[in-house]
Amino acid sequence: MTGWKSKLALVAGTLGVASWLGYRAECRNLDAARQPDSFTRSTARPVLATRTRAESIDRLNTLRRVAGRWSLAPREEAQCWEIIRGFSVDEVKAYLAEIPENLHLQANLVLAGMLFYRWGQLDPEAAMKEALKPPYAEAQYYQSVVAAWMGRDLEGIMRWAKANGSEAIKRNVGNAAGRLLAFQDPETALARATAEFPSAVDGVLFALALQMSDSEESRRKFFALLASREDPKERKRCLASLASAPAYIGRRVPIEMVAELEASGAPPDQVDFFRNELERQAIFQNPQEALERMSLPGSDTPRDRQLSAYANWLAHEPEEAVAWAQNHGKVDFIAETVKTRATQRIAGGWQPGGEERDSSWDRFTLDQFSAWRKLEPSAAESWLQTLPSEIRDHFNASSYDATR
Amino acid sequence: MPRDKRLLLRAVGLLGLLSLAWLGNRAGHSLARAGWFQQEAVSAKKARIESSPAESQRTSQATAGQAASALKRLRAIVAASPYLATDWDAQAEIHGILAKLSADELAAIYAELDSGSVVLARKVGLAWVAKDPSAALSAMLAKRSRYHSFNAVVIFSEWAANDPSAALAWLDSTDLPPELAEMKARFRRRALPGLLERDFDLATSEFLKFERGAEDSRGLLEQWASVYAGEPAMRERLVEFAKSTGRPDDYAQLNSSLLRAWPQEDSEAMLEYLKGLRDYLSSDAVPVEARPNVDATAVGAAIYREYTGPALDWWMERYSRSSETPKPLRESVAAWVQKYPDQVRQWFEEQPPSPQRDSLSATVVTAFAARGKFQEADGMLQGISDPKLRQSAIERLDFTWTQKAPEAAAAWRAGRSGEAAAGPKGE
Repeated sequence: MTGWKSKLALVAGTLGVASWLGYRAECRNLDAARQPDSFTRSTARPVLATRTRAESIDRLNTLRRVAGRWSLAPREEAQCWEIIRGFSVDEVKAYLAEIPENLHLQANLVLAGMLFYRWGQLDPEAAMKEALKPPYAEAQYYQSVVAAWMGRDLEGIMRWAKANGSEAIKRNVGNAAGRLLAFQDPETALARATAEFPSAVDGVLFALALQMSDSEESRRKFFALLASREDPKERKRCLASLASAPAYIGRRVPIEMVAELEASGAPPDQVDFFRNELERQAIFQNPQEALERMSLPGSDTPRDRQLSAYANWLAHEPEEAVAWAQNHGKVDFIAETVKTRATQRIAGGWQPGGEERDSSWDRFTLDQFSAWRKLEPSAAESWLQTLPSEIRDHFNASSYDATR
Repeated sequence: MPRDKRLLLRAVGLLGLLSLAWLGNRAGHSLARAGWFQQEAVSAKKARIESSPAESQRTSQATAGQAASALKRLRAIVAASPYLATDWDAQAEIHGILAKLSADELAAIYAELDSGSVVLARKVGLAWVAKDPSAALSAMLAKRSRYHSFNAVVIFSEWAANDPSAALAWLDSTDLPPELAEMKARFRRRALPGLLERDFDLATSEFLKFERGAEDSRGLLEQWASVYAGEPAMRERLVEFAKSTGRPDDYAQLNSSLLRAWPQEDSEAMLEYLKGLRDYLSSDAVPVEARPNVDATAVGAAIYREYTGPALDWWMERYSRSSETPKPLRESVAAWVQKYPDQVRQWFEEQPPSPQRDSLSATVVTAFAARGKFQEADGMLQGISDPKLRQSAIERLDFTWTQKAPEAAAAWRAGRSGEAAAGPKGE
């Protein structure tokens, strides 16, 4: 009896431990990578899809009609995909034919994109062929096919694009493929792209630039890699992409990278190009910082570029920008901005009066003028006298309000 | 033999045990893939966590751990996706992960995302805002980049699209943090455009919550009108609504956009509408003080649709003695000058002198000058009889001409005889 008990315990224990180990191992896998479909749902889906095809299509049509002339809500998009992800190729084709021809409705555009994506998962070459025909070609549904195809067979789509794609498609596929190659294996990505699909080289270089932008050492390695590329246009494209990388949006643009590029032995024209690109981005991303750097003693930044940074800052934070101009002896920036804007506006046929649709512009320019008049009363007054009387009256009447 | 039999039995037993272990292991994998026990594990953990203050530190550690693990998975999905915006499988996986996270975990993830992860940030933000709107939107505002401030507004609009009642009720709650309370109108403005077709009554009642003339509400009626100009039923409902708001400007804005967007193939209906509009405006339905602007907007839209003659005749009947021309009509006349300059000149030649003719002529001078047609502008000056308006128009022409062609402008000034000096010249 005791023997049976211990054997039973051994069996139960083995089963329990093995199940637990399997469960934990799979949880770790799920934690590290994409979570696959639910086991029960994926097993049941083919059966359910067949049985409920009509209901699925009715449901899609209902969602499409509810959205009407506007976009599907995010929740509705997810519901649509939950249905379409179970479609066969025949179901995809049938529903694609059912979507009305006025594809420009947002909901129709999204649904057609999902259908092409699904088709791309099931039969990418056929899906791509259809996506490149009218009326779908115009809406660029091939990108949905690319997204599905690339997710399942990167080599396959690179082969197809190399043999059949237009220049635009090669570039499009190349950028995304290059990014994926760099993600899969940064060490071999460039060699693979060069050998298998040269259109992906730019994408690889750009992805590597971002991956390697964190430290001075990794950037030095990247610039050395870039120097090894023979095509100067390719190097410039990569530098331009690097300067406008989304990762820098709203952050300090790393202007010190110019010195690092210079140290890597890059030709002077490329260093200048990169500096200009970074500065252009800095003016857009963080004009205050850019302006302060440009205004340092010894800086040779042209005045028009400084003005451009000032104008961009002014558009977002007028009070701070004016205060800065005041404190740094740059009243001429304020005056220049007022003159340029007012002159453009008057010459464009603007007339004051009435409820201003563009009141924010009006208020903005008038506030600037008030600030200028406080700092340089006689210069501002002299300029005001050059304006047509109706505009002059408008400035006089409104600027008193603005300075209250 | 018995020994051999025992060995065989043990071997069979061991084999059976190994098979059982393999089966158990596979079953464990399948259970994990099917998502078994995961929810329960989280709930049980939460219940324990909330039981004592001493464990609150462990709570935040657990939250941070869950968030870090989820963020790792989310980043892996984003990195492996060629185009996340059209990668529906990847998006579904992201939704699956986010649905299992608490507000605290979503907050921790959102804090880690930089502005390079636009699609992911919006999805995390949307999941978070549905669970804890005030905390989520405040954090989004605090985190926003100085020059990219729309994330909170966009995410609110997506929440409102998913769940309009909840989002709009939250917007009207009295305990909003101050930084969100001052953005109410912007949030509402972004939530309403797509709501009209889904729930007309809710959308229009929300529209009435905008303060009169509020900058944030501008353009919404025009947006609706341009979208539904080709749909008679919606068009009619919108017109009735705009008439009923008690704000004549609403009706003016609606007409301006509706008539411009009205499909050409439905021109008969538009003509009928214009006749009805004229009768409505001729009645006492619009308060006296609001009439010039409402009328000017309708006439401006009719000019745009090339019903110029009847529209301007009606305008002159009503306003020929006024020396003011409201902005909507001035804008339309300027556009008319650009399109049909000869027609414009002819119309003015046929008009008897009047203060309104002078005012419109001054607008035409400005419009010709803005397009570089200085001689035509000069020609229009002759028809302005009001000395003040005439002088003002001369100054406008002089200023614009001097900016674009200083020498020709100087010659024009020198050639003018009998005119008052055009005022101070350019710098």
